[in-house]
Amino acid sequence: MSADRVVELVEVEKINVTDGEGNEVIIEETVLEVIEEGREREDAEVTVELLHDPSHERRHFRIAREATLLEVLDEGAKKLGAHLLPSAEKPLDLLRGVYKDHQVGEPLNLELTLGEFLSQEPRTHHFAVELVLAIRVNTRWRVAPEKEMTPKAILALADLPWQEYSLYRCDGVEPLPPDTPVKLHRGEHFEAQRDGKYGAEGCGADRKG
Amino acid sequence: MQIARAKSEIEQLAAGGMGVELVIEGAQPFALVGGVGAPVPPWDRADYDILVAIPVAYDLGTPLDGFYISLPYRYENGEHNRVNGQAVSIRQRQWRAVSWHYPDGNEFRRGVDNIESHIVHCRGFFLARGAVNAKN
Repeated sequence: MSADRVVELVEVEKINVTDGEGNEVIIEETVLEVIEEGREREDAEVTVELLHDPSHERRHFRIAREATLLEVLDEGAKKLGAHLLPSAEKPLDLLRGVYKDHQVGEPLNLELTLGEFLSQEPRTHHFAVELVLAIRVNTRWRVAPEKEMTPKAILALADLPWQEYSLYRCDGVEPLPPDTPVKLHRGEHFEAQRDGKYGAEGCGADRKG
Repeated sequence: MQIARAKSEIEQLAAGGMGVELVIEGAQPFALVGGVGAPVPPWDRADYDILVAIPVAYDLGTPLDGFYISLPYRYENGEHNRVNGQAVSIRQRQWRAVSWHYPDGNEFRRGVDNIESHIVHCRGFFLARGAVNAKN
């Protein structure tokens, strides 16, 4: 005989969107959880969307309550067709709670488990994945504060003195003009180089320190 | 040998996904860097292994300079006139020193530069990038 099942209302949310003809439409989204009575829930239904995505396209999935919010972020990003930068283990990307009236909260502590997070108030099963403007200079990942930055500012962001380094696009041969803003793309790779010269003393192997 | 800092830097770079390892040949440590990208042509392959000699007093501030390219290589179907230094055998492979250095007044500076930035500096050689005072 199958166990009795209980349907629990997790969340109801109204979202204002604009349809293809420019009409404002209100969508009501309801998230329900079906659980077996008397059984402790081991996982939970969550909803994710990309922050600032005007379509509010969402994905739903179940994930263990023991999972960390880092795992929620990683899984959520995958469901949304994105991948975290610079890595799923140590992302610069952020996870935020989405609350009543679509209010977005502060970045969450990714070390919390989902269960711990859901025990806090205000409670939500709805998350927003914030894909930051992560760029790489040599091996150094940084979050760009602007969509366009000068090479001087990019070097400073990477803790490199612009007076001593030239900034190049990856595989670029000509240095970027230091004061001309560069449009940045998520995941873009730059190389900062102390320029070189041909002809000098022998290689360091000859040195004795 | 004062290279604890170099070891730490190499470990961090390797942990970050760069193909780099510390090799000690006799009393001389090297950073062996794999897959340094190069344009084809003029080079005969898209990436090369290079060796960066780590000064035995690196931790005390002795700077990095130059590098060795793995042999054989071809540049414009011949040799690059700046691959003209000492030849060494490391890990049963042949390498040759490349005359690629820091310009006067813009040398490797401790506290700002490190093995990571030096590898990018070396990559500049393959791209003919930022070659001030070039004597081709």
